Amino acid sequence: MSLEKLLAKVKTDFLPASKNRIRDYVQKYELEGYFNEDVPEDYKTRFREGLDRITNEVTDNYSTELRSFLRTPIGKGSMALAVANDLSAYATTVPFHQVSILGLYLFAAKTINEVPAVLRYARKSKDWYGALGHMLLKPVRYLLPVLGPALESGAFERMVKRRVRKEIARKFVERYGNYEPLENRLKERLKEPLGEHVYVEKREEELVGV
Amino acid sequence: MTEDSIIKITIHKALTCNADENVKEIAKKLKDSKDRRIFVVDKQDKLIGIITTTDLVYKTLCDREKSSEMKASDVMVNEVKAVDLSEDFEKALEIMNELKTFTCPVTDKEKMVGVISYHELVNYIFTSLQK
Repeated sequence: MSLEKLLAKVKTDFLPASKNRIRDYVQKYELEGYFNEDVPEDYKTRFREGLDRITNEVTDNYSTELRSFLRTPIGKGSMALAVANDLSAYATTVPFHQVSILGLYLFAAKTINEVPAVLRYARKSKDWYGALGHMLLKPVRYLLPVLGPALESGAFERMVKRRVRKEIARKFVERYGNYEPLENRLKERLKEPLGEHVYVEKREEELVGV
Repeated sequence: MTEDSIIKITIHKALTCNADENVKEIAKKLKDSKDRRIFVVDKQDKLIGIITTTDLVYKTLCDREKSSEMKASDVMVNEVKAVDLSEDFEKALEIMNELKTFTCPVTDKEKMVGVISYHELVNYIFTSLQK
């Protein structure tokens, strides 16, 4: 994976879910064969319209998992508190596991809040393994100092975004097939037997009674 | 026009004559149909030659005395390049390109079927590729 692609991936994963950002990433990195400079402009336009439609469809399907008015503030708050607590523990030499009770409450609230969304996600995507892995990794991440809570913040949304990108690319390929340059298709078509593509004009005598 | 003719390339019926047909009759056929070429076929409809208006002019007017007795076989060009239905589009385009014509005779196991036009062929190929 190139550095550029890695940075773009991190950007789409960590920044708030935006249809345009997700679509741009998929267009540039997952479906680059359909949008490179060799593809004629009219095809690109058709593909872009299709990708827009599919992006809307998929992001709408996962809209409640991608963002939530309740889940996001609780999640961000709990994780910010955990990071602050860890950093303060380092600075004041107090052991890092001395998290405040508020932090634990927030973590519990975040987890409880996430459960229905995780279940919905698993049902929609059939990614039961991913959903289970996310839940199991939650306490591990939370107990890791500084980095753990930072990673846990928005981990579920990142998993959903990855699934959304994958689903957009899959649906696009399903609908538009593998793009083949016009030149190749033309070469193939020219090799097809004439007999399969012709209609023999009827003679006048054959048209009597038709 | 049937549904078939809309989505496929039309093979147009071609003007044909027999090898023993008189040139006068042939000239009349060409005049009536406002055509510039006539295909010569045998009894089994097998394509055996082609006569163009140029052939008629050059070969009959130069020998006026014999012209009234001349038959298609006397003025026709024997080697006719045609594309068979089992052959590909490329072959048809090759023939038209080689002969610098915009039509190509089509045969089915050597039997004359009709003619296809260059424009219809190219148009069909590109239209079908855009679908």
